[in-house]
Amino acid sequence: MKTIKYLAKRAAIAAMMVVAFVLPAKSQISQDTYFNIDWQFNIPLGNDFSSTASGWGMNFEGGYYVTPQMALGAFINYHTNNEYIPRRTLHIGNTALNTDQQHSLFQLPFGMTARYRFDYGMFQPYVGMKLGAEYAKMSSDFYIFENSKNTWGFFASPEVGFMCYPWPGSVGFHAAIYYSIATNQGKLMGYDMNTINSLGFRLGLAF
Amino acid sequence: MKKLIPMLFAALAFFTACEKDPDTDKLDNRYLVFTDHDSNIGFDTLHTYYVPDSILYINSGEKKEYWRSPIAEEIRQAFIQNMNERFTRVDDPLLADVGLQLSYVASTYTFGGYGNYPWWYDYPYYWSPGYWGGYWGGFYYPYLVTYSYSTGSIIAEMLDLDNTTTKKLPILWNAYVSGLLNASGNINVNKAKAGIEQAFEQSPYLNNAGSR
Repeated sequence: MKTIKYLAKRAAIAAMMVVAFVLPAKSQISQDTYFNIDWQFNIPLGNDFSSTASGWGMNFEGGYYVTPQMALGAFINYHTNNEYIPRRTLHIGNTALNTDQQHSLFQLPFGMTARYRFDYGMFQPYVGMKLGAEYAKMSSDFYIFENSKNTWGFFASPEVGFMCYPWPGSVGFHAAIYYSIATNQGKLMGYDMNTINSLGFRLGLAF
Repeated sequence: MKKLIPMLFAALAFFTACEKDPDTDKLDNRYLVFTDHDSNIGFDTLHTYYVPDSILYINSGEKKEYWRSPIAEEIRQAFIQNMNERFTRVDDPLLADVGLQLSYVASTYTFGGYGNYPWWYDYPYYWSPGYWGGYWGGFYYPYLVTYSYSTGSIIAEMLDLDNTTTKKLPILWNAYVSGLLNASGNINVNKAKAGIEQAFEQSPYLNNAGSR
């Protein structure tokens, strides 16, 4: 008897979840638009200037659904990745500098975003693409000095994620995984940076 | 559209300020050593050197001061020890191929007040070119110098005393050793000696001195 009750309870919860996730529309505040504010975790890939993963970033984006599935909009996000470079001697031209350093890579991409959602109920999985420009600043702090370089490049970032609205007509949650590539190039204190590739995820609020 | 562009710039300026500053507390706080040299000179043609008996003390005052103390002598001896491994020391600057002038930056006021390139050129109380026995009209670096100065730094400059083709005394090699002050504002001699050792280690071309 206990087993039947347990199974019935599990089935009821599963049914509720299925119904909740396929509920049609009216789940978010506005059916025609969306807005996300996210905390961001970023892992630089193949970059020897600053390759330590960090959570020092945020993402802001919003869009308008031109069809029930397809949205077009704009985004801006920022992220800083720091890396401690142990003491070494850098030979640059005729000069030599012996010091340790703190490298920073600050990325600020912005531009247009497109998103295709597979459902528009309570649970809205989607795929998206961001395209735009990226400002990135390479900087090296050593002793009491800082050396930095500003760079610009094109930015592209595919992502997959979902928005979940557990309370109809109210704020929801957003999660996404992204990959990004920016064509920024720069040289700083003997370090070359050719393109910035990153992998990361975002967690935040959906409106 | 006219309003959009200023708004975009304002947004970029705002988000640029969101950059997280690096944690400089993680730096090892040992020292910074910068060296530069004239790549056109063959150090193998240089054999002898002369070093003055004291270190110039660059302070905020305009009066010429020299640093003479057991600490200053320890620092000077650290240079002498490294130079002796590469050159032959002589007692007369007129007989030397190169001269090594040493300075300690106790205050950066002088540099701010007199400009920083070439900051010694017009400064009347810096090492006098006449000190070196010739009729030199000043010093010059045959290469571009682009570093900053900070309090508690040691500067070493190697002068080409053999040169008779220029009116100004060429500086063939320079070393800047910084970050030497301890928490109480006094120079850490062990750090200074390690930094001086590093300056020679990262200048391997000096090892060729006297080989021809």
